[in-house]
Amino acid sequence: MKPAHGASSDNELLERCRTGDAEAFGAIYDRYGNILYGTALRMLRRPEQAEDVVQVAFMKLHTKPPQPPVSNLGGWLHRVTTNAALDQLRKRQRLAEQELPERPMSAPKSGTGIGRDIEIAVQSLPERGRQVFMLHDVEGFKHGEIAKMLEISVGTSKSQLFRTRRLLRELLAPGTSGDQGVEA
Amino acid sequence: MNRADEIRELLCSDDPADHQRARQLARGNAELLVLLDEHDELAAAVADWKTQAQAPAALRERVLAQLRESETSRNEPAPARVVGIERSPRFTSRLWTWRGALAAAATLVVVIMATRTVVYEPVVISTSGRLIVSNALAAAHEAEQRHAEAIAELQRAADPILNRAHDLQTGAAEAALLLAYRDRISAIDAAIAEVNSYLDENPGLASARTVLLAAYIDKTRILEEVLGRDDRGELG
Repeated sequence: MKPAHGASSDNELLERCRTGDAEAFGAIYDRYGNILYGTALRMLRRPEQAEDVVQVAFMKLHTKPPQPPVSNLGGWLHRVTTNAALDQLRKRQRLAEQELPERPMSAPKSGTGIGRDIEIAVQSLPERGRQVFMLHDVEGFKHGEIAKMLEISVGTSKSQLFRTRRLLRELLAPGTSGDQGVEA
Repeated sequence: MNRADEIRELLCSDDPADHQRARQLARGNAELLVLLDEHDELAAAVADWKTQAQAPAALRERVLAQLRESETSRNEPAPARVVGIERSPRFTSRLWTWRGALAAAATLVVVIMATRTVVYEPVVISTSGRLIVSNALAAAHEAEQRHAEAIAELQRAADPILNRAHDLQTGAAEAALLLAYRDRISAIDAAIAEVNSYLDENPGLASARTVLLAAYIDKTRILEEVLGRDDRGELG
């Protein structure tokens, strides 16, 4: 008998995925889908694009899965999702869509006030600084990884983070309206 | 750099030892300790924010439906030269485009096979126009050489781009597109090799040289398309 989803390790599920077991894919989605969607949504701020990116990540798991044994499937999926989201951002930049008014991310249904404030403040950040902050402070990537992803130097990643945190502090300071824009 | 900025810079580091150093620098100084509090508050706010996103319920079914479709396609007997291309609803229109190219390649092969049956007959040199004379033959050969050299040049430029198809950093859509280009180029290369081997035996047949020229032109167009798309940043 197949073990319940909760009892299966990532490697067991991955092995079953290789044989085309849709239930195993479903189990992996249940385990990581929300996290990946959150990552994509925070980076892209457009729910429909975030859904596309999650779909791309799971297609990659299907077509080019990591070689077992996988020590951190969640980390692998997170990286694939982040790279796919960055691809989307680059395409968006190329299409000069950043000059169009950004559609705001739908307001969170729950969460504390500061959670909402930071979301609004992050949306006001300059794009490159926002990407570095998102990758480092929110998604947990190291400067070396960010440097490769964004094709910048480690020093640039650090200095962008330094400046962006300072901007965020200003935006989040009492009496500051979080939705005001910040010059790059 | 003042002490506050020094602490902030240390807090930007990935090294936990730097964070420890920042705390040591701030120790005993109320103003500097505020910086650490701000840092911790920001981290807590981020952690809170991270828990808020909920994927739409329909996304699960959408992802699984696409995977099922992909799995079904994978299990179907793949048509020649399309093996390895990821199929999804999003790429369907592209697949139709590729099918056109594959049909063209197949036509080339059919033409080659048809002309081959003709030349199984002993070749007779004549001035009827069916066979080209030796001077024209040399000129044609020289023109083909130039084509081949120009294509080799393009191929060298395009190869690193096409090789990104297997790079994990490449997005799925771009990888599928690159694989499709590679398949199209392979199909044309096979046709060129076929025509060339035939021309080695029957160098004077104009129709075969026309087919070869068409194949060269087709390959040039595809390689230029790859390089053009890459220049425009459309290939990841």
